[in-house]
Amino acid sequence: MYCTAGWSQKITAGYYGGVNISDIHGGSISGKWKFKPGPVQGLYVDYSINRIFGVRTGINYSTLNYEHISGYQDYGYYPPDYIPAFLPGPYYPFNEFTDFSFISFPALVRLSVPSVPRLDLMAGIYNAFLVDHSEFYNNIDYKPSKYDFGLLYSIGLTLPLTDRLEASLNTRYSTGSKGIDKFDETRHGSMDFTFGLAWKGILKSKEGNDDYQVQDSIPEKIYLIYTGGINASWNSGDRDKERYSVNYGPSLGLLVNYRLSGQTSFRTGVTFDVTGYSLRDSSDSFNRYIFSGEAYYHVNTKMSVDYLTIPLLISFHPGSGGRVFINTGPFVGIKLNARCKGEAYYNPESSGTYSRYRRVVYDDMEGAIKNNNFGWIVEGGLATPLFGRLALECGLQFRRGFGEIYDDTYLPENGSFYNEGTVFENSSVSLRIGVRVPVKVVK
Amino acid sequence: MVFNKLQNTAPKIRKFGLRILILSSFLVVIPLCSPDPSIELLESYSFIFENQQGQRYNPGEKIDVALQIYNNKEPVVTPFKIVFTVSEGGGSIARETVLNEDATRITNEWTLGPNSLDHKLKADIFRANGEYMTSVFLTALTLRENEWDAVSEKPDGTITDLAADTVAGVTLMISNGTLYRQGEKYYLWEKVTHPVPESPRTIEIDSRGTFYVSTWNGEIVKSSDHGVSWQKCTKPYPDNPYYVFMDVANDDYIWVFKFEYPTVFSSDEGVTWQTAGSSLSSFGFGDVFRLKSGTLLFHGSNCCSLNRSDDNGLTWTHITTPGASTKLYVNDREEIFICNQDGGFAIFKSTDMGVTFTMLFGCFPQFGTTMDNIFNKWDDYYYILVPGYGILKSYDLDHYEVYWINNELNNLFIDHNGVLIARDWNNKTIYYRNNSD
Repeated sequence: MYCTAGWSQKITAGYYGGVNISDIHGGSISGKWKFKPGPVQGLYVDYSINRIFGVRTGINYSTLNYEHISGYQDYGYYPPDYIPAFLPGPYYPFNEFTDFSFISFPALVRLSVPSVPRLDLMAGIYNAFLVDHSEFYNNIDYKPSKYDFGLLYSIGLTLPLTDRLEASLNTRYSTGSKGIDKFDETRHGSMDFTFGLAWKGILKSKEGNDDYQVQDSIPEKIYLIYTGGINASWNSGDRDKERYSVNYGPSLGLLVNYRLSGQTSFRTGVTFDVTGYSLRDSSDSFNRYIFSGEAYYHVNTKMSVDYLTIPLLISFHPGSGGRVFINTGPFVGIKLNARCKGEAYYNPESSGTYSRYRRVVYDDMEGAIKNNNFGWIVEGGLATPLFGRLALECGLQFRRGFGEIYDDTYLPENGSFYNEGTVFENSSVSLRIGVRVPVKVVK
Repeated sequence: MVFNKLQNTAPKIRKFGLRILILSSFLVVIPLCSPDPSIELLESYSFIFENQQGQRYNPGEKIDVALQIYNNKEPVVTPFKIVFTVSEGGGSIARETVLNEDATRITNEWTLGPNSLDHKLKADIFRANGEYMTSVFLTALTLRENEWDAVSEKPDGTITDLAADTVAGVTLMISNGTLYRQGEKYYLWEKVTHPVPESPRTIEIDSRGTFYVSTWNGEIVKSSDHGVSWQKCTKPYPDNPYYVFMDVANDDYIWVFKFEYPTVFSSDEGVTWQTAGSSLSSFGFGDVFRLKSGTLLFHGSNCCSLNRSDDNGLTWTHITTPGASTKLYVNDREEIFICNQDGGFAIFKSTDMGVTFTMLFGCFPQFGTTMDNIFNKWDDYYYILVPGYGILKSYDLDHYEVYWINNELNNLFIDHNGVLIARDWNNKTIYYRNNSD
């Protein structure tokens, strides 16, 4: 017998605490913004409209710690009368620190999948008020904005502990929309991981039933797919695409499959995908193939863009067994992060001087990437039963993004008469494995 | 029991969901743990000629060159192959290929070519396996006879004034506010380190061999021992802290001009100063000549300002000149020469104290100036600079030949050996000409 939880309480109040990982947006694309931990905690009140939908608000306190690493060179001692164009010298990392503490008030819409554990997907907005911050940043007296406004996305699992107590694990992604200060286009952002406890039953539904209900055994109309795999992505842009090679990254997510008919389903959800390309060539840039005259660097880097992908797929299950499936449909990618990392070797040219350097590259490229990407997915695969009620599916997915990935501000030449086409378009093939978990609706 | 309901509700599924979440977190976080950006110097070498760049030599001279090899990263000697090539100026190198082996300094002998001003030696550095690394150059100049050789290096490339004592064999020049003495060769200059001529501006010499220097702070200093020692003259304008214009006339009087100050002169080597009359300062600064009769002639920097004085400068009478005259010269025969820039450049001559003028030469220069050293004499010949045009040569100042056309020129000097030194208009390059005849 398969059971799922039935929540009938209208209002739930809870506390959560955990750690946030700072994830600044925009700003310099040179150097590395470190992912720094900070505390986060808060109180919330959740109102269930029905078993699927609800709204949530509360108060949140978090401290965001930022650290930016760039570098400078110490020219050191050189022979008398020696004035080379490029002075070789040791490189010292240059770290800049700053921190911000906010009290914020989120407002979220919740969509829940009533399974055990219950899956909560939330999205909404927040208003944040700066309560403390570091006085100096980048050696200047710093006067950041006292206010922030932004978007919140959240995914979490909730487990009932008792009739009136439940525990939750939640991952939340926030992105501010206001510049940190008036001289800086950098925006706040973080991803936090929290553990929460909630007391429910403040206001019961009319049924007043707080028991977990035994479900019947009719074939499931909805099932979840916990999916994971490997993306092999490449650059299919117009310019010099033969210079780029494949970049590998994970693909993880959760999909909801809703059966439309015996052989057709609608499938959507969210997946976290790392896409991009590799560059191993001579170039004046760490992240793209471009040079004038003789290229300055020999680079061996990977350009990666992290997306939260939302597919909208029609799934076909030809045959009576439904083991074979073919999915196709559009997707929208929401940019989370972007980075270029790897190595670059170079020889600064100067009369009478020969120097060779190895540079470890880590450039935060988030500010150079467009916020969204759109494209089309085609996938084929097989499904097989697993442990009786579950099923394992294995698919090979081809994904093609349309349009330039780089932001126009990063490619000013694209606006010129001499535009030679896109620099970076995303294509990928994913080998994906998913576990189908049925969800039953209580009558 | 606290968790009884939970235990009844699919524990396997619950655990599976938690594992998914934890695994997802790890897969997201692990890629974020990347090395921080940094730069590592893998290797660095410098190859430097010990010889000074742009040194001046005689044509065909042999030079010992030395190339120093530095390992900037660690004190380890690395073997290189160095290939020397004479890339400019002709000449030759004794050893074209040198392997340094364990040496950090290698030497060679460079023979300069005989017919070029500029010379360049190139050293290409290769690794022992033949991979090219870098190149380094050594430059040299050879100044030739009977050629105009351009020099743009300091100090002489920026010369502003020069005076020569042909009797004592001394030439002093001023460049960038510093006084220099000509050295062993005409293109070598040594700084005069005496403290008195502070921030010199112009230099003149009288017939007795006394050098006078006017400074940027309004002082006149002099040297009666060929520039070895210097003494301050009485300051012509005691309250003036800025520069003055100075002219040493052919009678050894020192004339000093300054706008908004009366023109003064000294007949006793700058000990005392007298004020010239008739508002002479309104004509600007200029040249003064004394005739055998005692009459003084003066032409200021302002247009058409030829004047004469028969009472030793107390009163002045204007003489009408042809066109826009700006320059005066009086030769040994006391013939008066006037240069004007009236629609070009022209030289006029008068033998009747300015009653009549005859035009002797005319041309159309690139630009007009206030005219500094225009008439220069060496041996039996005059060398007349026409700013923006070039240099004329004349034996009698009645007949002129074009000696060198160069419309960049703005000034001309002659050292005590007769070497012509012409300066361009933007004060960056001079041209030496050492005539052998």
